[in-house]
Amino acid sequence: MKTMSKRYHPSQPRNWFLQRPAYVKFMVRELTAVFVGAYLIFLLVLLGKLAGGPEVFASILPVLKSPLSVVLHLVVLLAALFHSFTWFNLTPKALPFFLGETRIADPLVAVALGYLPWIVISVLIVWSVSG
Amino acid sequence: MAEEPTITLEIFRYHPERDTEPSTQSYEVPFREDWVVLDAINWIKDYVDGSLTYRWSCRMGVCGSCGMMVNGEPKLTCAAFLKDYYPDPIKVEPLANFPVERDLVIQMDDFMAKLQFVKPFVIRDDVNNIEQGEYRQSPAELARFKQYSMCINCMLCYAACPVMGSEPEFVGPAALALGHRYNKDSRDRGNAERMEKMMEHDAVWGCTFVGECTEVCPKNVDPAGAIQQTKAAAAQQYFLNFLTPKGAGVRGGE
Amino acid sequence: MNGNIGLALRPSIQSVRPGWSSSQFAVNRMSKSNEVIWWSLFSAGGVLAALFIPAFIVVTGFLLPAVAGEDPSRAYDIIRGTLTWPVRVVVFIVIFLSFFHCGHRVRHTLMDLGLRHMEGILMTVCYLGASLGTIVAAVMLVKM
Repeated sequence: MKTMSKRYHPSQPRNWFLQRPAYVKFMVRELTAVFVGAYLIFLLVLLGKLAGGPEVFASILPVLKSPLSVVLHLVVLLAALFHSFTWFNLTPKALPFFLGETRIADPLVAVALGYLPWIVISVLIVWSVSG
Repeated sequence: MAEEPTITLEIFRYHPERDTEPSTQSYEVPFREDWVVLDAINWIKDYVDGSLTYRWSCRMGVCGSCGMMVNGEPKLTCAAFLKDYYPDPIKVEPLANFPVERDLVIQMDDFMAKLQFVKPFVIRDDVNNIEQGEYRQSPAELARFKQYSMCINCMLCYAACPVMGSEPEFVGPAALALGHRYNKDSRDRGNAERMEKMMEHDAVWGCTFVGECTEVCPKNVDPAGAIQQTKAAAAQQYFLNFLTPKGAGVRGGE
Repeated sequence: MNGNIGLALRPSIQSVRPGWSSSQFAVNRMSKSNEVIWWSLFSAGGVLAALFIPAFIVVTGFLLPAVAGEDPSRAYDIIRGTLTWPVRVVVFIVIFLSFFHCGHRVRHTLMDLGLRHMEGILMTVCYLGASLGTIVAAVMLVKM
């Protein structure tokens, strides 16, 4: 008598992303996109007010000065920073550089292509607005 | 004579001919400083329960046969030391994200098909004949792909990859790293052909760069890196082809 | 997956391929891999978001309110003065690509969270949303 063997098919749990620390970190990393996206929408509103002229723009200044705005900006800043750090640290994996046989170390690439430009650009932006 | 210390192994059991659900069976095995989980499993099969079914071979981390989930982590059981878990019990289960045949044996036919999917061989039209001699390759050219050639097909990366859990059609880390190994081989001229396969929806684009595949790989193949490099190469080729109708982006080998 | 195991196995010695031109390879590639476009936008957006967004947040969240606290009209002058046309182009590109970065990431995250069967809908919503954001950004920056 020949019987077909019945395989057991495990299924991925719904909360798979909580099962291991690495998965949690991954999900947090991906969710920074929600915060950045929300900030971008806020930026559009701000640009809209700016486009309306000095009086229209003045109407949003109390909002910007409010404690709620400061707290939300802090939250979004944390998310954006987490994105920046994880992004620059992963960049060297996608872009290997070789000097002959030797691969240039990941941290060096991260600094050269990520952290250094980041510092320069950030300083430029803050300096240009500080007037 | 002092009693030998023991450690408990909680092992996943599944008998397809009579079970509808898997179960767990606990075994108390001798704890020895130099033993790995595979030693404990072999001891169980030799002295306690000959029905325990599992794969193993070299017991030294080169054959890729003994991969299992040890306390929820994909590991080569020949490389997981009992002393790192002692005195707590050790949970041993078959590799995640694969159908289970029996006990700790998973079905790997899909994996074998995915390896072949990426055309894992040097592709070139102009094959040297004997008089023309061998293909020369410099150490620098070798360095471009050597890391990705070290895969022992242990499938730990497939067990670690959450995409494999939700999308069984995903070609997966090892297969894509293998494709990258050939794309980077200076002897290969089949880049365009292989990229056609690797740029399918369930190939590189299924990957969301979780990176756990690279973390669990016992041979430092870095499949996550290989996949991102392939995505970047695909993007580069696409835009070069788009901008230059003569297909400047299509090239073989390096 | 198209499990063409047999077709994938080839003899090691290749016969000369029928004369496919490079452009035919390109067309094949393009029809199969729209994904490469979304990924490229996501990737470029990820770089720009990483480089620019933190500083933007510091400006709108802390610098601007600080300046406005002293003299509200000065805040408008400073910000408006910084947004010369070259700067507006840069800001537009950052916003445009960052929107597609976020859209792509949200799409894939929702798929990873169990909505894989809704991939088509998710792609439409996410990339349409990103496009709308981009258009609004362009309109605002031009109107200024």
